[in-house]
Parts: sequence; structure tokens; C-alpha cells
Amino acid sequence: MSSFDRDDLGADLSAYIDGELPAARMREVERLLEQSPSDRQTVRKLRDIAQRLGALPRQNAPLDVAESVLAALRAGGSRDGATLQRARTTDRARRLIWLARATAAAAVFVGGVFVGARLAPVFERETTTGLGRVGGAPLNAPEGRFAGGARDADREKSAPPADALHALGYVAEPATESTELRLGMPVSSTSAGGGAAIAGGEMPEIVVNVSPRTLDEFHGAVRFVNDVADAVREPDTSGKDAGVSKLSYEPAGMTQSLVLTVDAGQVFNVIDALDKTVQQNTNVAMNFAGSQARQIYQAAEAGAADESKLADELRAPSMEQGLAAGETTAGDRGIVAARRGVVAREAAADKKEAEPLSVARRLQAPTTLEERSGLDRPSPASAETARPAYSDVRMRDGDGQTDLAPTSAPRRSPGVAGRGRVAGRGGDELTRDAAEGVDDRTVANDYGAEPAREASIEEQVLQTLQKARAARNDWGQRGKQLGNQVLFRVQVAPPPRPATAPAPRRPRP
Amino acid sequence: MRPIVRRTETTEPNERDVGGVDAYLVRCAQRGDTSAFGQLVTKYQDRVFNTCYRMCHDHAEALDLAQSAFVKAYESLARFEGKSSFYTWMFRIAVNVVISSRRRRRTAMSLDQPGRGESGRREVAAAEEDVDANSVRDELRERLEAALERLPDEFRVVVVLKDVEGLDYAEIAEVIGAPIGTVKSRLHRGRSMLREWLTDSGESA
Repeated sequence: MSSFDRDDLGADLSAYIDGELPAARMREVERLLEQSPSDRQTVRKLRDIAQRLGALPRQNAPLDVAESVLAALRAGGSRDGATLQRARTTDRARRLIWLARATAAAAVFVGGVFVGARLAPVFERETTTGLGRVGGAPLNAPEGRFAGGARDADREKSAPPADALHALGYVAEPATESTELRLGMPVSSTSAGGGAAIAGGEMPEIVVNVSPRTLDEFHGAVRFVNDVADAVREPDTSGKDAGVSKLSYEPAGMTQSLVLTVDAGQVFNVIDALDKTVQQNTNVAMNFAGSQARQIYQAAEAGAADESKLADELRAPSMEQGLAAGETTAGDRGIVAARRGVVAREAAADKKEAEPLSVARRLQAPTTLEERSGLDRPSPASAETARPAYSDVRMRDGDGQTDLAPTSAPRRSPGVAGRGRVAGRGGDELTRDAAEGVDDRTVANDYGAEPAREASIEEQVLQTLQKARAARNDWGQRGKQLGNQVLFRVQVAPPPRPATAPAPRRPRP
Repeated sequence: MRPIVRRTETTEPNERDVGGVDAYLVRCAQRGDTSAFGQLVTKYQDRVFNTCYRMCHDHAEALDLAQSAFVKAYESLARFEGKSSFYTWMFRIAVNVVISSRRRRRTAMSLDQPGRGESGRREVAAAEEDVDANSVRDELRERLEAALERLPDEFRVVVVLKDVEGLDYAEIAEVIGAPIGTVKSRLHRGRSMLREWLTDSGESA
């Protein structure tokens, strides 16, 4: 024990019982203690003192310390001036008010027990729909099931102006402002891998980025992210997958981030899944907002314009003119009616297959087109020869025969037949067709005549259009009103606090 | 339903800075978010209050000191660079507030009252005389508390931070701004004085 300086031994004995000695020194002390009963006695007494100090009852602060401090800060108080005293006085008054309220609440609760017993089945049903999950214990951040590392800093953009959200009623309480959920890239950029390269070569990603500011909000955010991860990976009740091909969990401090790589054309399915998750989380609220939404809205508006055009086409103004003139022949009517019928039937078929939103349909259109072009399409050459050309269809008007075709005959693009079912498809094809001088009647003409059932079909198409517009407005309206970067905003309210206070920490023996 | 995320219980709010929560809240508070600072106060108020209480042994004074410490921390938050953890920085402020307050009080008392140490000895004696009114366990605890109060501040703060609050030597060194060797020696001397006084007061430790 030559290495021991007896003056330091006492301190080393204290450090020994605290486990604060280096390993080599620890072994030396242990050897010493084996040989020295008096030092063993010293260690025993020091340990006894330490344990008794650790067992002293903890004095917890009154619950309103934070309130008092914040009140003092709000009042610009100094650390030991009259402000704190005023804050404490206010707190005492607040405690009295709280006591009165608690008494009243207790009285209400006594009454509520009776009512609650009668309503118990109702609450049970609510619990099964997801409301019951909210009261659970706080959760840790989800662990490494998710691939991926840190993301670009540009995704960590700031939240939208709070006043803008308040103006829309999105944030009820300024104190609980918290989180956001945004698309990581424009919806118009979709996947080449999905066979649908519309504007980019990258899979669309939805970034769920929840940035809580408090510990309670953090727990709520983690719970929400867990639920989102569950929701987007699970098939819905119809067995349809949400379309997420990759899910990365990327927390950064308190910020909880999920990056959802989405199959082309499935963006809205995923958003629907997120929306349902929010609906089932009473501690979060999600609202649609921002420039991304505005983009969608604008695209939908364009689609609506195209759909209106389609509807106009279905109404066949030229035929109406002919009918008004009263000089159409049965054959003419049949041809035109058949034309309308084909267009309407195809439109209805397309709408039935497509997403309810025209934007979603746009995302799917190229793939669908590719599939369709390989099906029952006649070749452009056969379409040219097997079916009557549009310019051959004539109607009588007051002056005699009038060509229904535009004054400049449509240019017959080789792609006309391949795009035969353009009616009901999104705006891109219509726009392209318009640029190529092809109209729907030309296309319908290519597909020949069928018996007329146009009236009822046209009505169905119009109803579908109305539904699509209503759905589109629901998506786009809020985005139209806000001009910021945030697509969604998620508000996380604190989950219920644990009923029992945490056990006081004890020092190591 | 496929499990995607394993859900586990989170740490208690009073645990130390798990996942950088404190650092995040500090940054928010530094940007003027008082509610974030309120979260920090809520998280550490019990520990800070308990430390203050163990230093001054008076509830009202401990509450004053704890509140003052938090207000001072907020005022100094702009200078907090995050080189140390928030809670050690917070403890350092609290300890300084307590020691400053006691120093001022001692100065005032020295002008018109008997010395503090004398008072401490009187309280030990008072505790000894109160045996009949308390259980043996309470008596031992009161003796310990009285002896703790009698300790000089520089030893008491180390003893409280180590044995009551459970900080390790490095954290205590950071709080009091002294080398670890100083912490070790002060802790040993503090414990030794307590052991000696309790033995003198009749305990057979």
C-alpha cells in the first residue's frame, strides 16, 4: 500500500463507497480494507451517513412554482423583488379558486357517475374506434425499425405564420402550437420507377415532420408518428395497401420525422390514411393548408375546366343546333347520338376506374394510358380506314348540309386512336389533344356508333363531375387561402399526465 | 395488424436530459418561448427546491430561493451556451443563489444576533430534547437534518448534491466550479463531520 498517502485515504474511502475511484485504485482500497478493520469501520460509517442522507424525505416544490416564475417573468420581475411575492399572492388566490372548482367538479362527478353508468355502452363503442388509445402512457420514440439517416435541412423549414393559421381557426390555443406535416416535394413530380414519369424521376415522398415544443407534446408527437407508421403500412378494410413502398423514421431531438416514399399515383391514398389517423387521435388535429395544396387545387381547377369542356362536348351543341333547326335526319341523330354515347360511356368508365380526384387521376393517367393503348385499340391506320371520318358526318341545317367539322379540318394525329378514350381522363391529355387539334368528337367518331343511351350516361357523368368537384374543393380550399410551404399542420395537445407522481431519485448506495 | 413500432414506456419527466429534450427547450426559451422555459421549471422544480431546502432547512425560504434561481436562470439563459447540461447549470445557479442569500443573512445576523453555528448547535440540542415527542426514527432523522444544517456551506452543498440529489463527482465539480479532487475531499470532510457530530450527540454509529 505504498501508493497510498494516508492523508488522501479518507477521501478515497468516501470515493470508494460512491464508486468514483478508478479501477486500479478501487482494487488497492479493497486490498487495504481486507487488512484494516478500522478502515472497514470507517467505510461502514460513511456509507451509513450517505444512505441516511439519501433516505431523507424529499421536499417537493409547490405545484405552482412554474406559474409563479413565469408570472414574474411576464411581469419583468427581478429574482428576489416584490414581483415574486405578488406572483405567490396571485398563486394563493388561484389555489383558492382551484379549490372551489375542485369542490364543484367533485359534486359534478358524483352526479356524473350515475349518468355515466347509463351511457357506458356508448363510451365503449367510442373506445373501439380509437378514442380510447389517447389515455395511454407516454411512449418512447419508435426504435430502429426504420431505415434512413438525417435528411436535408431544407425540409426543416419554419412553420407557417401563426396568424394565418389562427385566421383559419386551425390553432385553437396559441400555447399549444406545435407541429407540422408537409409534403417533401411537389405532387406533380412522380416516379419513373412506377412507370409514370410525369415531371420527375424520383418517387414522391411525404415527410411527416412533427416538431413539439414541450415534453408533453413530444409524447403526443411520438404517439402520432407511431400511429401514422401503423396506418400507412396497413391495408385498409378493403385489403388495399396505402401504397407506401418505404418508411423511414428520422428523429432529431424532439422532432419526429417520418419520410414516406409513396408509389406513383398513391399520394392521395396515403394522405387519406394520414387523415384517418388524425381522426382517430384526439390529441392531434391536422389541417390542409399551404402552397402545395394550392398547387393541387390549381391542378384540380384545370381538371375541372377540362371536365366542363367534356360536359359541354357531351351536350353536343352542334346537334342541339341541328335539332333546333328541326332538320336533322334520323340517320344524323343516330350518328351524333352514338357519338355522344360513346364519349359518355368512356368517360363514365374512366371515372369509375379512376381516383375520385382528378389530380390523382392525372398521376395515374400515363400508366393507364399505356395499358389501354395495348388493348382494344385499332391501329391509327385501321382507325383511319375502318371508321367514318369525322368530316364525313354531316347534318342539315336551314341552309342545307353543313359540315360538323371545324372550318379547318382536324389534323389526324397518329396518336388519335391510342388516345381514344381521352374523355374522362385528366387535363394533360385534353390539353395535348387540343394542341394537336383533336377534339373529343373526332375521337368518338373513331370508335364508331353505338345505340344511344347518352341521356342517362351523361347524367351519371355530370353527377360524377359534381362529386369530384366537391371533393376537390375540400382538398383545395384551404390551400387556396394560404400561401405558405406547409401542406398540413398537426396540433398536438398534451396527453393526460400520469396519475401518480414519479418516485424520487435516490443516490447510489 | 403488423407491429411497426415497438412501444415502450418513456422516462419520467424528472429524469435527466433524455434525447436532448432539455437542449431543445433551452433553445426555444432562448428564442423567447417562455412556455418552453416553464417546461424546464416544471421538470426541475422539485430537485431545485429540495436542494434549496436541504441547504436552508426552511420551506418558505427554499421556495423563495428556488424561484429566484429560476428567474435568474431565465435572465442568464442567453449566456448559456450548452457546453454543460442544463440541469447542472441550473443547480449551479441555485447553489450560488442559496449561498449568496445565506452569506447576506449571516452578515445581517452577525450585527444583531448570535452566530449561526451556535444556532445550529442549539437546534441539535433541541432535537435531542424532543425525544419524547417523536419516534426513534424521526429523532434520528431530525438529528441528521440538524447536523446537516450545521455543516459549513462549502461542505453542505457537496454533501447535498451527492447524497441527497445523487449527482456524480464530475457533475458536482461542474456545479460548484471546483476540481473533482476538491469535491472528493469536501465530501469526505462533510460526511466525517456529520458522523462525528452524530456520534457526539449520542448515536452509536
